[in-house]
Amino acid sequence: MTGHEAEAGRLVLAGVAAWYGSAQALFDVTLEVGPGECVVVLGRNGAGKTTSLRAVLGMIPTVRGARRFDGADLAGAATHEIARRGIGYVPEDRRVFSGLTVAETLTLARRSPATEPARWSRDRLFELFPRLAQLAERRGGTLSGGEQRMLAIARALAGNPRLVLLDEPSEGLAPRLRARITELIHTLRGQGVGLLICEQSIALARAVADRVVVLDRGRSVLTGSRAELPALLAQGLPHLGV
Amino acid sequence: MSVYLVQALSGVAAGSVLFLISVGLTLVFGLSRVVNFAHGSFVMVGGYLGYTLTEAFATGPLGFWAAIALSALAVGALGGLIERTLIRRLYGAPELLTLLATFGVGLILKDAARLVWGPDDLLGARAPGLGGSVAIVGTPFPTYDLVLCAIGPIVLALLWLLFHSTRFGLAVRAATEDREITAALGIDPARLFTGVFVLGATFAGLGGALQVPRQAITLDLDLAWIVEAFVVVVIGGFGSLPGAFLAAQLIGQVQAFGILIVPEITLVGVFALMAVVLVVRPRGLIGGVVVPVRAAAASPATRAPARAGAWQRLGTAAAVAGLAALPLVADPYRLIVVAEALILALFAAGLHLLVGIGGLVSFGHAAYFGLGAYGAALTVHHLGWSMTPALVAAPLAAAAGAALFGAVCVRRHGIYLAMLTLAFAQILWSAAFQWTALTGGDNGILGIWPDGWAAGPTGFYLLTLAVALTGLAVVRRIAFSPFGFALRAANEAPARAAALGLPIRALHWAAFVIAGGLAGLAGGLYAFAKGSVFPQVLSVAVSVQGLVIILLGGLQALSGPVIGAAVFHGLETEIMRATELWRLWLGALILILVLAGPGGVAGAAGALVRRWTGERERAAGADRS
Amino acid sequence: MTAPLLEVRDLAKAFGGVAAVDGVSFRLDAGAVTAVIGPNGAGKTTLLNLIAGGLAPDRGRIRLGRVDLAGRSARAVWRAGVGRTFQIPTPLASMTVREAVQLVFAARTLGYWRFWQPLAAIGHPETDPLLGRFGLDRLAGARCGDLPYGTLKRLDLALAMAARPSLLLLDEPTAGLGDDARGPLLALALARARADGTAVLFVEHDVDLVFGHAERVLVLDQGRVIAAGPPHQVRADARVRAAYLGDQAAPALGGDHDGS
Repeated sequence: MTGHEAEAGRLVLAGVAAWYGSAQALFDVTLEVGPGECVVVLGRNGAGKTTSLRAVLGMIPTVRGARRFDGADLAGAATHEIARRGIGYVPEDRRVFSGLTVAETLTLARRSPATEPARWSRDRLFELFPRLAQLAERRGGTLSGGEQRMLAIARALAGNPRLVLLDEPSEGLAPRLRARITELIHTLRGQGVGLLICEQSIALARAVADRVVVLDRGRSVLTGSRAELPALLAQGLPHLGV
Repeated sequence: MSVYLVQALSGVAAGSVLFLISVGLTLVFGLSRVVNFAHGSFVMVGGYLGYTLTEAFATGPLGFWAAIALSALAVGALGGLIERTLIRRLYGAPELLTLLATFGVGLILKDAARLVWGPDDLLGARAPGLGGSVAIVGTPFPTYDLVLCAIGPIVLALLWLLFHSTRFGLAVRAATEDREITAALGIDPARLFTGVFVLGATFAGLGGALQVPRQAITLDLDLAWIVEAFVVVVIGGFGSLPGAFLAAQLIGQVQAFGILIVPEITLVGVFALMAVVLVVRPRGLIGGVVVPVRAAAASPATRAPARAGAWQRLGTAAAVAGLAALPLVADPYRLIVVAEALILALFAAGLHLLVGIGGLVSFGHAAYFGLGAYGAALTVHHLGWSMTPALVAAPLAAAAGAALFGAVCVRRHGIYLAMLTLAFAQILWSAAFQWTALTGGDNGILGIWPDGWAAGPTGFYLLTLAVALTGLAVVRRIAFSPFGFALRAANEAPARAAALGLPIRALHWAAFVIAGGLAGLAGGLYAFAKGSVFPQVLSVAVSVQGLVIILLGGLQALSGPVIGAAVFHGLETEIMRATELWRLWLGALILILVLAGPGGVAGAAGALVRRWTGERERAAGADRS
Repeated sequence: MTAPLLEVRDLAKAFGGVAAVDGVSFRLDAGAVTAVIGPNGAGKTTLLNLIAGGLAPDRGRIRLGRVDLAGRSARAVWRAGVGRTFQIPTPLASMTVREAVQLVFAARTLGYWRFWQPLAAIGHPETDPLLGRFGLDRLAGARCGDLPYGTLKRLDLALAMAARPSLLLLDEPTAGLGDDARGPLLALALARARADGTAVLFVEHDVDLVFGHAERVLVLDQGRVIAAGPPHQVRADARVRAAYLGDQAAPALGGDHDGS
């Protein structure tokens, strides 16, 4: 196996530090997400979870350390270039386009992969979230919080990404919808799509994580596999809870 | 009855053209937050190209419309070129810089047009086949205008389709809301910017070309149209297409019926409407994008005001002595030139307090210069006062105007504030223009001469020098007084300032009044220097001149307005003597200044001084945490 | 029992239909140190901003002594005796540290309406002692815009406390600082507050610091107070753990562990 094959579809962050102006938000974040792998980043708020995702996408002006995806260095690349490499993003606060309808949003977000056939057609997305089909002609700004969350996820999937960054996907959702998201994560893993998920809650990590990374004060302090999860959670509690 | 119908129709025709012209301004602003002052120049260039091309090809209707379309496309290409080379560098820059840079582009385009087409007005032929008129309930109405009535709605429909059924259109709407998330979908925002800019320039060019059969094509079309387009965008809501259509039609009707009912106040009416909308509904009739108030870090005064060291004091003293001794060596012409530069320095000093220290970008400071000039002229002309009381009345009139307008302006921030100040200046300009009984209108007020003791060049020069130096000293005192520091705090860290109990609006209002009073004093001196006053003292050009001066001199120190005024007026005088193309050079100068950074000439010199005096200071401020 | 310094009753604020603060009530005694914690989106910063002024609540009361602060401007709240710091302070970039402090003292007596006498010549006897108390004396001549981030936060604190407020609001005082700078900054703030008899309400993510320094802890979740009390009591509260970990089946926290 060549080094390039080993990096295919893989996200690597090594020693990443990030600043907002002169305030430092990340100090040392190291993690990897392979194809079909689900990595859950746990941490209290303020630990640097959202900043880590934004650093992957080049949304923070000052980032140091190594960021690679699919064998390519992401340093200096613009957000749209990084996204085109096959990375989808579901922001924590949804950020749906309030003036665009559901159908328009999905049309805009559609992007077919160069080689394989597109998995996430509009019909397939409406199958996943039937509610969105009913709301196809409604503007994003008129949707409820839960509906906006579905739209934000569908928007990211419409680009047929190879890696999805999910920021607090289960926050403030009804239990039924949480279950749907857990199901979706399993589906994506089965398709070979990598997932990097930020969560404050450990429930989702228990359900879906192949690996867990615990962030505290801008540093990745603990990393472990699914088998090590119970021990890791016990060990990580001081970094997560109160 | 039919008279009203025809009047309404001609309002619709005018509204259609106005809509075409405003499309680009509102779309570009919505997407990139750049206020493109050069947008009116696209209309002007479209008009000239339309003239040339219709003259060349318009033997039949087909040739005519092909020529119009070709003109629009050529202007679109010009817009693309300008976006790629210049506008691109301005995304995210403070309003002051984008306004000035695009104003500079407008100056360059104006002189380029003068080079190509000459200074004379050009009258185009009528549109082939549409030269006649049709009877509307018995009253004749130009056929061509009927076509224009249709073009506005057609363009709105086409744009609606573009923005709702193409990926490009969807992307523009998405990026107007959230550029970052749009980029996260793999869409390059820079290409959207270029696309929208080209689109807007094309329609501006179309609007200009369509004017060929209706009005003379002149070099002044740019300013005339940009100001009207601003009004449309503000009333309709920044970034809103339907809003722009509605506002353009509304203004078309106001103008059409205004001329019929009260011709004297049509111009004032339009700007007053804009001011009311800005105050009551800042987001416009159809809520456009919300413009975030710029963070303090990006506002002009980001470096420390220079404090006088021993060398600077010595330099200042030498300069003052030199200026006082100037009449001994200089000829009367030079004395007049220097006196004019001193008046500009006084005008700019107040602006320095407002913009450089307070961070309030006034785009209508000519209002107070003009109030001072007219205040002095009117007291002399109508009340028969002599120079001294007139020079007291000038700043008082201007300060009163600034107190009134400022009370409204300080309730808004950023681009809204700039547009409000512009609206008030335009209201005064229109009033001076149209209220002929009081102001003489375009003929101005003549015979405003100084008292005997100041009538000669030396006397008037010394008077100007004394007044200007006093004004500058006052600004300097204020800049370092607690008020000056409070004003600076409100600009640099507004939230912090409010949490320390500083009354930000009241501080801003006071700065407005002071700056207005100083501008009025300068205006009064100007009236006596020229011996006459014309509405031009209230024009946008004067406001921009003030901003160019403080930018040229550097925003950090009070030496800025002085150096800026000297360099500006010197260049202007020399360039105007040497060449007809002074606008071209001035525009190029502005572009260089903006792209080189807001330090200005004084800033560049100051940076050199800081480099070898500041080392020790910085060492003292080193990290202790 | 004495009357509380601050009394917040049934405070609520929604943004676009989403309740950020939803019926919060609590009391704060003079000189007490209380921390506000809670998971993401719990409404902590909104609560602080409601008290600090400039943001009007949808309903509820905020009484400081006998003054009602609800819906008042930031300026009015400052005049009532409340100081605040910012999560990411914006420097008064063009001023020196000394000038910034002098301005604050001048502001206390409406001195910003003085147009003639230079600020530097007015001075204030408390300027140097204040700079000394916050370890800024050697930096008095440095420009605020040139200060490193940690020093800037210290200056922000000094400015907020210059007028010796009866209540100090700290918005994430340690955000953006490295591990070694967090504890000292919070300790400095609390020491100065104790010396002045100032009550402190602070929002903080660093739970170790919270439990190490706060006398009382207020836990918010989804805009509501779910627990309030001394640190050890809050720490043992099952609802608090559930809110943070989102997992009813979270393993019990073994005894009295220490996060650090």
